[in-house]
Amino acid sequence: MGSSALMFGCKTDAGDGWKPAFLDTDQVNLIAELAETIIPKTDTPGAKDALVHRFIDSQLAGYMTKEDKTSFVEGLQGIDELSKSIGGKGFVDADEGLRTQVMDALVKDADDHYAAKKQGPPTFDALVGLVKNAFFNSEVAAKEVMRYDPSPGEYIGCYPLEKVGALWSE
Amino acid sequence: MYFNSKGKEEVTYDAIVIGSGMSGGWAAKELSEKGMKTLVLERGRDLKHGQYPTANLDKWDVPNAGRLSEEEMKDYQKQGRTGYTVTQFTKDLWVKDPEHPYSETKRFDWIRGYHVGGRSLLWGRQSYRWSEIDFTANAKEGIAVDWPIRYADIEPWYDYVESYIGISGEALGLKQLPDSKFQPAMELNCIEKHTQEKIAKAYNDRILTVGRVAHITKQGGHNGRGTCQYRNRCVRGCPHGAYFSANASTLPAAEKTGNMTMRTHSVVHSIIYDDKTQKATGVRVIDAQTMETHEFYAKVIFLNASALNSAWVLMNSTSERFPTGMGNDSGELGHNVMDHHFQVGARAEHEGFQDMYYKGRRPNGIYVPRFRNIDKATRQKNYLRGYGYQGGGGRQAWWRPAEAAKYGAAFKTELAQPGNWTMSLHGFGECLPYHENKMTLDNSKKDKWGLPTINMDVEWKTNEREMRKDMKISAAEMLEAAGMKNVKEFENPCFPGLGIHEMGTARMGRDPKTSVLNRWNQIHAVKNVFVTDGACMTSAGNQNPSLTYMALTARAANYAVEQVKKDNL
Repeated sequence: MGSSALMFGCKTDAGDGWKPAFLDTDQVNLIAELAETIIPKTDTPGAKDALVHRFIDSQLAGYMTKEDKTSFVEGLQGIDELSKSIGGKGFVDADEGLRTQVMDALVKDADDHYAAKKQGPPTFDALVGLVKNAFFNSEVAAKEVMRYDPSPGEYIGCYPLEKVGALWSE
Repeated sequence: MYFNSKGKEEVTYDAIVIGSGMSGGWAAKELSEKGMKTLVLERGRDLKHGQYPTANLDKWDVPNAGRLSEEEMKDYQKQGRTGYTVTQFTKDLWVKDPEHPYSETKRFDWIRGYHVGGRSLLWGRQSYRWSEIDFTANAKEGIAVDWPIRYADIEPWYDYVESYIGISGEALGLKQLPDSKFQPAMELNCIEKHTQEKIAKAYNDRILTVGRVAHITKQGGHNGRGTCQYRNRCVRGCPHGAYFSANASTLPAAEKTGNMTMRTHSVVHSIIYDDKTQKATGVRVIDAQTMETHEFYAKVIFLNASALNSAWVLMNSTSERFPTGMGNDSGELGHNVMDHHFQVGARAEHEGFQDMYYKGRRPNGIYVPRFRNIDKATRQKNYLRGYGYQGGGGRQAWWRPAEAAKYGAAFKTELAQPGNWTMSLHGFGECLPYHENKMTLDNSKKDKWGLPTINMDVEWKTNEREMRKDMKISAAEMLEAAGMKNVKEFENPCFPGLGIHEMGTARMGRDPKTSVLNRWNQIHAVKNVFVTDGACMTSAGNQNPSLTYMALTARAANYAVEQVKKDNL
């Protein structure tokens, strides 16, 4: 129960025998790198530390509709192709500069999507939504990025933010 | 269906209580404590205080951060209509709809769980007294029938149950919302205090206070139940027993007397009527697991199966004397279904108080007591009765859109901090009693025990719709007065049942020709059967009703025992 922060290079975790239930290895690496680009490790843990890729894989395996699964896989593929078309490399092998170009292109694509009033969320928003949800619901984020207080014991209605320092995890 | 044959147990008690929840638990406690050997029949499984397997789990301890999959939700098509109650933490506490079907001529959201304690484990704990205004409304307005009791009749029983269970709140001295015996009130946060001050300045007839909740906030008494730890995990069951549930409070008290017997997995088929004595003699039960049939006998029967199920029992208790259901001389049994309508109000944002936050997860919100139609000055042209507001304020969390960046370090940094303050006001409105809002038994659709299922035919009508227009506008007004920005009215789809306060199906009244129960909650024509759950309600008020059910139950149980001692029952 619970998961520990991990410190394995730029590829996804190993060592505890985790295997994806839905994605293949390349897809796992891709989503892990995308998630880390969206929510990077700074002085606090990032998406890889929080095992966002594992959570998203388990969602795909059992908690998403067929349509959403298909959208997601197509979206992943599209991002990899976008990276290749901009800089000749897939996203996992791209350097920081190329990754930034890819992300910015996705942001622009999202703006165009809304301007054209297209149906459904654009790839970027769908991706960010999944990553945010997986990250901020994780144990790592609750305990090391936000403030975790399982049994507060009291309710103080007006409490200085500086005494807390970050969002409470719910 | 034959009950007088194989597999039968003949056991006689002083009292039988049908249902072990909000009101049934109180009947069990009062009757047991007053020396009555009491059999409690619960249709669901046992659930002892402390058996709360998800109480201390975090989001990462359950699948999918608590959300069910589409596949899992197939079992909760109707329970899931609330949008929030069925989670990985609570899914075992709500009925699986395929096992407990009912039909809807008009959409009705019947939300419940079947286990010892029932919805007293799952409820929102909001607790408000009725006032004289509520008890006299029907008579004054010529609607339905008059309540056979007044505030003075129930007042000592509010005192009694509140002292026992603990109600936290702020005394206001309002005629339309009498004060309870209060535990210390929970605090308001900055935005709520700000809104409270602004409303007090802008209006002389509106007040914002903290919610009145059935939580213990100060240690002392309450039979060893703990104080609220501000975890806000109540719906899963509280290991501290800090909020009132039958499981943590009334049932252990009943058990302690040695006079209570709890029989779970007991689906009540009907109440047995003896035409010679004109009394009920006992209850027919189907064991939910073995399908065996049993009869149990008692001098007094308390029917606390929840409004629709209690009416169902009476409707299924037919005889030559009562061809359309026990006690149904009036034809009102199953009729006058009411609920509270809500999902309407306003919300807004505030950019100030950036350096303030809160500590703890308060399992409670704010309350704005009714200010409409409480006297001549506040009479509304377009509708009768009134509404209150619940809701509250807080700072936005990580799910909000980030403003500084779309991704990356700045994105994470921003979302890891609280966002702007928001404030919302959610109205809860009274529904009038309409005879045509009804439940009926459908013999063409039987459940797995071979029993007719319920059909619901209930709708909101003009008074409710007109009231909702005002609920929206008045909420927005108050948020504007508080200097909020982006004030937005909202109204989401709200169908009868969603308030989870269904009531009215066996109403109290003065006249047996127009009501099912008398001033003591006795069936007019069968004086040893008492109905004290939501079924008994003659009008709906706008206040969350469970506190009133508890008070009525304690009062009726006291009367029942007095009558037994006088040999009147």
